[in-house]
Amino acid sequence: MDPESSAWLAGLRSDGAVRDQAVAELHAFLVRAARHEAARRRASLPAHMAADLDELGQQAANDAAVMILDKLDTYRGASRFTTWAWKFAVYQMSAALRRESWRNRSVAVDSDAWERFIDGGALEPGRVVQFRELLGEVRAAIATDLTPRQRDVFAAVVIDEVPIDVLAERLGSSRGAVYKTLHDARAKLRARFGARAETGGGAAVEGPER
Amino acid sequence: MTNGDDLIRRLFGASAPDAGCDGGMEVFDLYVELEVAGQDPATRYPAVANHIAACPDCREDHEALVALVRSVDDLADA
Repeated sequence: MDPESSAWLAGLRSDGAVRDQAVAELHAFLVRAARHEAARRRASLPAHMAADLDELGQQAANDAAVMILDKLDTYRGASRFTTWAWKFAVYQMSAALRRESWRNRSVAVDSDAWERFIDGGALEPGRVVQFRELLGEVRAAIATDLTPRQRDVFAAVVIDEVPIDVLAERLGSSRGAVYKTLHDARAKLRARFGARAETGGGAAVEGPER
Repeated sequence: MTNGDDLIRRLFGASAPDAGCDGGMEVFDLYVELEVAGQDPATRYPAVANHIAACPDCREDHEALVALVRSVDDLADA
């Protein structure tokens, strides 16, 4: 373990004032990480969030510190302590920014979302018609092959690009559980569409599987 | 203009092993340090690489951690 990581660990594992000081330093370190992420994404955030970023950063740092102290015994020094700690700050701040960005937005998928999905792909002109046909078949398969929960998750995350964290919050679930639902839905669709579900130079949309 | 591979990936994901969100989170620090050091983390952690490609939230978190580590390394090198 590198000396800086050892020093972090020693401080956080000590008692009394030494530990209090280490926890305070950790929190300040996490706040800086959260602010870095907010600054990195500022251009893509709704304007109304600008005034809330400091508070979101403080809260994300609080939540990350709790996770870190809870998991401290699992840190083995394979990475730098700072990188290990940052991943929790990034996780908390990213989730907070996503949730706040979507605070007053509906996650219901409208019929235009499917068109936006195609438009977002910036397809070569010759592929748009083929892709629209494929998407029509995918919509039919979603209706017949997926469970209601899989349908909702797939449409929201894949078609309407709702962040998984946002969907998880509204469903009272977790990122991991919602992703698992998405993963299972995609597996069903892959089974249905076979080779057409594979990437590779656009061959997937060139003809229906018979 | 694209040939649609990105849309296919978004629709269907991939059949490759997927570490999931929790599995990715567990080793993101190791994964990113390899990446920032110029090595290929997908060789060491293929299921995590597959997950990053398939999960939009974890992909963003991965990008954020890379940016954070690089920003500090850049400061140290300056």
